[in-house]
Amino acid sequence: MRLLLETIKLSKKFGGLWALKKVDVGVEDNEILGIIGPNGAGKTTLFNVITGFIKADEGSVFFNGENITGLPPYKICRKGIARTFQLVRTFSKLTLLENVMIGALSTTKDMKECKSKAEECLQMVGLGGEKSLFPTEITTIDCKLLEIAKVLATSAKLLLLDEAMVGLTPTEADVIISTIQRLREQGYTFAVIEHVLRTIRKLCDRIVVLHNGSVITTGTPDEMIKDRRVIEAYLGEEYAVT
Amino acid sequence: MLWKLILFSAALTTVIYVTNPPPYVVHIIINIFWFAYVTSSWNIVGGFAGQVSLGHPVFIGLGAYTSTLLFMNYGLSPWLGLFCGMAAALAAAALIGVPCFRFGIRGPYFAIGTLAYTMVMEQLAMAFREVTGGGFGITLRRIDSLLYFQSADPKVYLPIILSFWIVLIYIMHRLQKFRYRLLAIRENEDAAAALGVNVFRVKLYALLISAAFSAVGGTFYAQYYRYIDPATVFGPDLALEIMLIAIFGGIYDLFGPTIGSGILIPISECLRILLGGRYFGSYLIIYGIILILCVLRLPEGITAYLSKKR
Repeated sequence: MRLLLETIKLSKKFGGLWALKKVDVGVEDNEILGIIGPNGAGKTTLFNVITGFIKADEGSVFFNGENITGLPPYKICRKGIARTFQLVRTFSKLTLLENVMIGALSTTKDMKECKSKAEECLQMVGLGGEKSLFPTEITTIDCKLLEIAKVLATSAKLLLLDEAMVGLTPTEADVIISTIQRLREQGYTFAVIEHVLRTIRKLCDRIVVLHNGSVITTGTPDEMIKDRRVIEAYLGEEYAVT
Repeated sequence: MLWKLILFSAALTTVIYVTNPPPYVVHIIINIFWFAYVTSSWNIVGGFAGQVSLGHPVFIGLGAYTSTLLFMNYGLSPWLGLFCGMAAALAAAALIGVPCFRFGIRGPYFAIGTLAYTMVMEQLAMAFREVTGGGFGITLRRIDSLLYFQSADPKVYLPIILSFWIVLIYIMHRLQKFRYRLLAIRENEDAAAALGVNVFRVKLYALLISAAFSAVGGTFYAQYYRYIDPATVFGPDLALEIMLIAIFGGIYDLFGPTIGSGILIPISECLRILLGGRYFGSYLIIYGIILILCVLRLPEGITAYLSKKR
């Protein structure tokens, strides 16, 4: 399988603490990769380093075989990696359509094309009818869908979603899950940070488990749930009954 | 858009020429559009990009002093001096913009930094008195020729400032993508960067464009009043007045500053006429109270209020 994204010995130190320690993660083309791990495991830092918001101390990131280590966020986005944030960052003074248009600005020639692309992306997540509303007027789940529409508009191939389902009810999470699955069928690749077991099992093809800045194991969701090291990482050693 | 602006300006100019109102009315109208123009250029960086600048007197003052000094010392027509003023303002904008935006200085820190910039420039203009005339300022030589951006009839200045204003509004109207990038930056820089917006470059361009337009406003000011001094064109008061007008009118809208200026300038002038002579300074108190009430009732400016009502 071809690797779309590959990190090699990626390391980042905050003060005396290794937020990431020699992390090797690969994302295969057209898969949905889950990234899990306890709080402070380095999941969001990994996203921040990949997308250029934080500079890595060591190691490198390859996308499509090209070294993109240390590029600024906007360049990485234009290369084809777009991310969402843990806390939704909608542009509250702009309408939904305008929000999505921001993502489409750099890949379209003129405003007309930009607008139609944004409309298309809103429709892909099922928000076509709400395009002239403001983010303050829509529900939490629609905000999360809006965030996905925004990254779609950037023409990125790889979408990094940082807890795209946090704060949603199971039924609402299912809407996001089916949206992501539908997009995957259209050729997009995903890496998602998730916590909820139910979501992970439904959504992910493969899982990477981070703990204290290192990858401790990787495999299918069902393998991971039974893995001793994963249980230890989450619950402490005494719970890891074999 | 362009035709509407031209039509409006032509109509206004015609009305003024036909009715021939007292000079004071003409002065107020020119003043309204001067502030509309200068505040609209401030709004590119202060409103759309959300980087509240108190440094615009630097650019306005450089525009005023550059064209004036070239005119007084070398006889260069201020029409040409205007471009030299723009160049000077661009350089000054790059000088403050590059370090601020490169190192992520924004919000209150950007405001403080630019305010200091204004104060430094005012002091420099005071200190180099052999060149600038220091605190005495410069009284421009009278030529009364349009070739030298002067006229004995103040009405002539109205179509001039209106054309500047049209150019500015129309350019910003056309730069739609640029405007959307600025709005995204104002809302959240990281989110904008994550969507492919080159935050540093867009902010810097905004400041450069804004500075260049402001400098033109400065040249106009010098030619219209035929007198400049450091306190009026380089002083922090001007920075505050510009900011007030923009916020009052609405910083989210292309026409917000123009509307703000159209309301505040007449209020301020009328209060000054009514109360200025008798109770010195009292008009400022009332002006301040009106401003406070407006900001409390319409925190996002008049245009935002109107567009919500619609």
